[in-house]
Amino acid sequence: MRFLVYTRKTLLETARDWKLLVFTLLFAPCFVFILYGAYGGGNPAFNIAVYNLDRQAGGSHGAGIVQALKEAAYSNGDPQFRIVLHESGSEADSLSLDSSIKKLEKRKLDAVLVLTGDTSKVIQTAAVCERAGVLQAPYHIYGDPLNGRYALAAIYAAAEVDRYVQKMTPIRLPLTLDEQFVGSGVSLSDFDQLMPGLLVLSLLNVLFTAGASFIKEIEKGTMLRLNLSLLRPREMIGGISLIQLLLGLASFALTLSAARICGFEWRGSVVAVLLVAAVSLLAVLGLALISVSFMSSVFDVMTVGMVPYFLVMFFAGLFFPLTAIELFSIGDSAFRLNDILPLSLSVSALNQALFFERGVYEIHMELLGNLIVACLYFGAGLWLFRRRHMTSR
Amino acid sequence: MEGQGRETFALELDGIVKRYGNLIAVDGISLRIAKRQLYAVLGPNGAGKSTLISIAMGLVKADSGHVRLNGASEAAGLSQVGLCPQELVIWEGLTVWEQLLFMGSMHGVQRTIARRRADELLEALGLMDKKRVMASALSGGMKRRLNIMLALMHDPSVVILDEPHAGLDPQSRIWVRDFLKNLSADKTVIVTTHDMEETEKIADRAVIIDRGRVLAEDTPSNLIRSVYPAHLLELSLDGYGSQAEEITKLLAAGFPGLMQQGRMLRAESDNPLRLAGQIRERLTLAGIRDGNGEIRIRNANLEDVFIAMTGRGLRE
Repeated sequence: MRFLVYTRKTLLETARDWKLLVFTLLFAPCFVFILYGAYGGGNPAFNIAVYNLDRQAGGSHGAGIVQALKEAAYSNGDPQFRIVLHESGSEADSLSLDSSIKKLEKRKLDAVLVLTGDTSKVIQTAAVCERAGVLQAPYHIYGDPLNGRYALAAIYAAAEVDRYVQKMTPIRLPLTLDEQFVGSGVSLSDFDQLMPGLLVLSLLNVLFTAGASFIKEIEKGTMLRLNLSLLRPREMIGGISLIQLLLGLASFALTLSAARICGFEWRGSVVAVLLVAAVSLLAVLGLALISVSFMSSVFDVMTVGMVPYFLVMFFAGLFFPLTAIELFSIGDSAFRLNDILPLSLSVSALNQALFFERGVYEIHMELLGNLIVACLYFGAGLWLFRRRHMTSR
Repeated sequence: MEGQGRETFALELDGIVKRYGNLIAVDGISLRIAKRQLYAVLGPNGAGKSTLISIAMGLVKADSGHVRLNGASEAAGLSQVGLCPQELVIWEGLTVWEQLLFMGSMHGVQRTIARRRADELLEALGLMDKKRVMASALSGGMKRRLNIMLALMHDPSVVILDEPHAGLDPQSRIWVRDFLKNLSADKTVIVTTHDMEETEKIADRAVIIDRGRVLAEDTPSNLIRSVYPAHLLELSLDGYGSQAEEITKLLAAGFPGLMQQGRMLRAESDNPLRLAGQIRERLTLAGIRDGNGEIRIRNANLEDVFIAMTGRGLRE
């Protein structure tokens, strides 16, 4: 009974604290729209400057390669490259090349491709020669190895050049590539790949509202009245946790809806995704309890609370994978050092559920691991909070 | 009170000691507070009043000593106690009505009873028209009254109020004074305060505590009579300018009962009018102009008692 009364009171207070409520519910969905604006919904198109120095420019193989690059597309028809073509005169002199290389440094370009003067000559020779490779001419690719997009741009461009050469000559490589996709087979955009992290971020934001709800009773001194009423810790923490759980799930649903509006598609199990979210929220609540055990005000939550927030955001791999140290494995499932952080396994589980159409059974090891981690955090948080803020009788 | 049975005491403290490092906050205090009276715990800041109350409520553990509430152990009797802390302990995000009902429910009061009780309290403390107002929108005095109401929602037989008059405007002070007096008709009301004037008006009994020890315990009038059975005569030195020191020496020699307290010479006398005449005569003989109105005769109060006992003002 007292649990329900306390839960109702928490609901009223949470609903009336509209600033924090709006932050929790809308931060991640807004982030989705911002990222969609930044990345676009489609596949990444790489910015390439192509210097066609082929002496037979115009109708030559140099122009053919440029055309092939322009036509290169992903399976859904999105172009692979945005080409800036330099063909003749001052457009293609060494000063212009220097300028493009500077653009690589500033990441305004992902790669620079230079087709040399003998490009047509060697391809024509190879087309009529029985023995290939008698004549060779280089083509150059410039790029910044520190730019993650360069590697992909270079691979895609080189593959396109190879494809063109094999099409125009009898030259055949001894090994042929047969590419197979795992998962749904649908290519993923940069935006799509950020979605598991963004969804988990929507859950992580509950750290602040939950922390504020837990600490408010301490800061305002109302914990004294609750202690005197002999309210049990489980009734209070249970009441707050239930409201925060619902809040987190609402934020999660809004983030997913925002993503769908932006064209994100997934065919995975809804139950699996919701289970991952619920277990992840338990871990976030545990982390909030541990954090506020060492705090005394909402201000502390909003400032010092950034430490666990960013710690989890970066080291649990929400937005970029980190090198993992494997601790042990059970069957096919390996458990890594950063899996002891809450939400680390959530990202992995969501990846599988969203992109590989896995159901609850297929991700049960991640779910179980996540549940164990969440229970450990929640249990530790409960113990610490009781010890530091609630009078035990 | 020696002959009273244990069941007649609302609160019994027996040899309570509490130390914080080298500081002895409570130094062996024993008190027995009878039921259905308004009992004031007096003392300056840092005297140990709040620590003593916290120990009585089980919020702070005593190093030694025993507490009994309504004849039972502290833990068993706690449900019959309502505490109104000195700080405002209210839920700013709830309306007055919501938090009264919430507090009632937390103490296991049935909803219909809680509603009736909340209405009674709102009426008694003059907040009926603020029932649906958010606590954050109340004035300081109204919040103080709400603070008191929250301690009473479960109809406790013992009510402990820590500095209930602090920060109250005159209207709220009158409301609270009348309310506490009425409350003590069927409940034990324990008030910690350093407001002596208010205590004289409302308390049935009072204890004066300083440095963690009981200095005196009785009714306010008995406390005053025990220290100052006669009237007080006060001579203010403010009107004498540079002659103040000369006057002090002159009068101290002639009137041994005259004690200096700051810019005041004070003496207790059964016949203060005669003493005043003697002082004026002495001043005239010494060629010192009689500062009209500087000699004042009045009854002693609790503050005088405290000063006499501790040698310092209450609000230092």
